Amino acid sequence: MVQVILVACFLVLVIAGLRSRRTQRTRAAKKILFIAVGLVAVAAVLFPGVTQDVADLVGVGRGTDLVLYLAIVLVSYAALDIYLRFQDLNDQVTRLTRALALLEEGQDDLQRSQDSS
Amino acid sequence: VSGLRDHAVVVVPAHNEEAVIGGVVEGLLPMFCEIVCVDDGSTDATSQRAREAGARVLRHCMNRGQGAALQTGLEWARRRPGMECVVTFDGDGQHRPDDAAAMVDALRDTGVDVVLGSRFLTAAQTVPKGRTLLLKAATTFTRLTSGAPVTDAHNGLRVLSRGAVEKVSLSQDGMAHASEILHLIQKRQLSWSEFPVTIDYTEHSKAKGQSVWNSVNILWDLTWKG
Repeated sequence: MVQVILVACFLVLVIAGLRSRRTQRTRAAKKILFIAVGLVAVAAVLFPGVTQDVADLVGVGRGTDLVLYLAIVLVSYAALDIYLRFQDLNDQVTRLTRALALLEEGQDDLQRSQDSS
Repeated sequence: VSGLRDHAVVVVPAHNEEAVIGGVVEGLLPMFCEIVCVDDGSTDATSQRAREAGARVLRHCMNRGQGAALQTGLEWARRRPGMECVVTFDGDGQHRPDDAAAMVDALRDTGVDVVLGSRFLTAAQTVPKGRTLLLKAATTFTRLTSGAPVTDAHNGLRVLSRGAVEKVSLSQDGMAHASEILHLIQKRQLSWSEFPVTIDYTEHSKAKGQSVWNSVNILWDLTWKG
């Protein structure tokens, strides 16, 4: 039971992460996920018994184990998300560097033609 | 000097090549009039040496990789009204200007869109052991993935016609651009041929060459952005 849930969560997050980045919907979904995780975390702290109840429901021995499994899925997703964002940023830096190099050469060129005239 | 060579732009990507870049530019000048050195964020005097030798210099303010440097050179060339072809020529002195000139002539004579240098088409070439194995593996991989039956997938000496330059944009900043170019040639249905060239394996160019480990990086980059 829990294997199915965890693998499904993981796949959904990876596929969602790889597809359609930066659309309004995915950005909103990430915020909702973030808030949901925070609320669940607070709830789990205030009512420790709940994690055990949910663990029993999905067939995990201890509540703490369930929390650990969920944490691994979320951390993996966060790592992937940050990696992809980093790649986007890298591409942007390259484009910026290129634009600057072309701009500078254009100005040098203009300078040279003014000097010679 | 042939007419086409007068309208060729030679793009020379270079990163920390102050020791050899001057010689590379001087070697090209008798045969080509437009040499553009793309200084990829060097921390040494590469830009000055290239400029003194007579090249135009496009300077990346930070190191972005050889693929990024080539793309900068291609974009600059694209804006030149008279440009009819682009030669890509590594900045470490491993290529021969004679080969580049002969390849431009081949492009003119055969009318293909792209002429690719290959070190494995000449009998005289002595490629160091270890490099041969790695290059053959890379070539086999590229043949399979890009569908272009090349004999040398990672040769920095190429000639692209204006049409090809306008259709090819590199998004691979690192060394994976070599595979990406071949992939784009197939995708855009550009015609191509190979041309035998000699690589001068100096201690310098060998030291600047890629290690086996970089093939892992290249494969990774290709999977993410393929």
